[in-house]
Amino acid sequence: MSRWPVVVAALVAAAAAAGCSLPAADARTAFVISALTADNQRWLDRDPAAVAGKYQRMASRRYDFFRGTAGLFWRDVTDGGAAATSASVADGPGAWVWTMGDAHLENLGSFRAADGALVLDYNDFDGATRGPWWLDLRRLAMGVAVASDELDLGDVEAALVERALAAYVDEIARLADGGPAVADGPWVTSFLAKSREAGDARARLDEYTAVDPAGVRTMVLGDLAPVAPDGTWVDTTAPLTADELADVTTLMADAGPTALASAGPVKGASRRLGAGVASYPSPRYYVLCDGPTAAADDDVLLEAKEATPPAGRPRPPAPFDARDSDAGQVVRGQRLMAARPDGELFLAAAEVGPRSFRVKERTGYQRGVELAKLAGDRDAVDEVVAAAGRLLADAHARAPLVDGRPALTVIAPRLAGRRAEVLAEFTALARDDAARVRADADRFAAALAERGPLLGVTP
Amino acid sequence: MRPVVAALALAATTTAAAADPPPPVTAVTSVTSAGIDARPRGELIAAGLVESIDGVGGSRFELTRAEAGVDLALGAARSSVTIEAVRSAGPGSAVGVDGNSLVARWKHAAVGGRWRRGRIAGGFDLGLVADPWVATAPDYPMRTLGPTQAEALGLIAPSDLGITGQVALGDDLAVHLMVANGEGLTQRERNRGKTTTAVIVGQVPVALGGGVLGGRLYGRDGSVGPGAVRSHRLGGALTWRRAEAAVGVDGLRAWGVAERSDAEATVVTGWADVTVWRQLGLTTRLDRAAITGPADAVVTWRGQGAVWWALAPTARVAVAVSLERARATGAPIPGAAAATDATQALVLVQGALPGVH
Repeated sequence: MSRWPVVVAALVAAAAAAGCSLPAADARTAFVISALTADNQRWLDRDPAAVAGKYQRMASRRYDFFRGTAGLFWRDVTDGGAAATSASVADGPGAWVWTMGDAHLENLGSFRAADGALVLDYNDFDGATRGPWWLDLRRLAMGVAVASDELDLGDVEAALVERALAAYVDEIARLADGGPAVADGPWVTSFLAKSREAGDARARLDEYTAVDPAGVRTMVLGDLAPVAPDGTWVDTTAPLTADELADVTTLMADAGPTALASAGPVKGASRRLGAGVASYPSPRYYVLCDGPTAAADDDVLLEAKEATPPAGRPRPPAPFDARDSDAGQVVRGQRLMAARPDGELFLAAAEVGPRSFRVKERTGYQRGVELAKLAGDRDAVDEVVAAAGRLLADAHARAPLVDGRPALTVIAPRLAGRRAEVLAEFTALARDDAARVRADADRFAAALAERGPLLGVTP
Repeated sequence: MRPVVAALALAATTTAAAADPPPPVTAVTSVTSAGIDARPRGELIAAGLVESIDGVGGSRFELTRAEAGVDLALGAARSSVTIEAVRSAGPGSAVGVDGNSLVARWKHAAVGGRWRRGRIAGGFDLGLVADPWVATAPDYPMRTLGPTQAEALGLIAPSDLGITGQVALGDDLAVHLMVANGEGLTQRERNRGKTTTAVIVGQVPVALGGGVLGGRLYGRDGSVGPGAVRSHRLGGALTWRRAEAAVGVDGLRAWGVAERSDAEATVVTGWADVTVWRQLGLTTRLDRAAITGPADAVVTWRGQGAVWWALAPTARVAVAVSLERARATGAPIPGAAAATDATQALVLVQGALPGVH
């Protein structure tokens, strides 16, 4: 019994000697590393190589770093974060409207509605949840500022940011006053025409599947685009593992009886690798369905992507909580905010144990805006930037509040008569936010070089 | 057979950091045929509430706390385990294990030893051990109204992987030392630094009102996460207690909050608990939390009051009102205090076996 004090002292002293904490060399770098690790923890546990690929992609392009760090933005602008400053439009009730969470230029794309019309709208609702609309607008403005770095137009940051903000404020005013809708400009018209061509030619179906000599359509596997020089996937499809096949079987059974019934029986599936930035590691399956008939020309290609909860965002209090699965929230957000909710015929959510998948059709009608294709074309950039602001206003305004009224009823009064004030305030915020992103991107790249492909985390 | 039974029991279990106090009169104990002294523990708090936030009302039932455990003793060896109920869905999500289930997880699981020579007692525990700040507040009377602010804000995890040691002089003074990963009970170690925690607990009888004055001091030097974000804490608490009344105040200063090294937090709580007539009593609690960083500070206040009826010495039913307010310029959503200001009316039931922390 008398040995216990010695044992205790030895154990505690040994542990304490090993326990001198390491000071973080740079608080902001420590924040970036820790927050990114937290946001990617589920993938670090399951597929660390994919996280390494995501980090590599984020390090190679500043706009991709911005796209992969929505979680940093939300931490920074709420809860006493590094940029958590009051906005002049924030006072009063009505903070919990439906928001995109990650509205930016490369999340714009084309859709075909049920009546055949081609429209431009946001195409990524992964971060959709209730939240403060003005912070959604702030992220859009920040993204426009970061995008200006690679548009090859000189110093146009402030001008582009103001253009996006003005389009938002003016659209809210128009919706409140009942004025005529803004018509698509020449670039958008041309973009939609190309989307129609691609869709009519069944572009995606014929890229990711092929019809064999016997007339049977099967999945195409392999690199559809070469792997990037840094080793990251660009457009690759791979056969499913046994676990992935179980995922697809379960999710199709969960979502299929209702939303996917007209897609027909499943004929094949593959895993798509290389898509997205934030969702680069997320399992994304392409599922080939037989369509209305046994013929190969009416087959349907579905995409099922595992949804992840929006990182870093303030959680809506219980009365505003949608109480959905992660994918259910994405689907609900898209149905409520999209310009044409009928633009996704097979939009559905499916649960696979504790995970959930968003399902939609993959067609050539869906094409995303790419900054690289806008570079040097000021008119096109102006048009896209204005569309981004206008479409975000439309999305916010049409989604209902908890009491059923459109959110326009709380947004419009905050902006009425404050156009110049809001533009000046949010342009200044965007300048500071973009500067922080650029500095964070440099810190991130340095940390990646110093600590290794997973920022020093051992899976 | 006895050694096998003892080994199995010890392999499965923990004890908290308390320095082996004599069991309270209400403790449930039993001695097995193998000579193992077993003391079960448990607590359950359930609530039904109506609330209003940002002009929108709602109601729900909650299982605020449900945990059970057992302390085992065989000679000088000690072991204990605790499991608690947690909702398996992540924040903002409705899908958890087997569909948003309440599932059980280990809260404590450690093994150690105790020794005593005269008035001096000591011991250690190794494994998933209780944070000594939480462990030395076993009968915090405000827990019915919610966890301590330090726990609710994630400034202190209730347990961590590590080792604790403690030395006590009689029942009036104890010193606890803990060296742990610093990641709490949800993560394994993620940086090269360990986190060291020290707690001093003391109490003295005072002439004023015939009560007992108790005090605790808390200090922690540590780091958390792969970025080695600083995680330093300094806290203190004073409690005055007699049979029918207790009042207390405690506070904690934190350097480093979640992933942010540049953030600091200060939380202060004052509380009082009084029996006014037979089993009828009143409880009130006032919390203030401030998080400061490079931008606007977040400052929130919460005031709570409850009328309770004691169903048994460790079981209460209470009707409570809770008001949570943020400073206009320092709300969690900057400038939008109304977005998070909550007004709640609650009915709560709390029942416990002693020894819970």
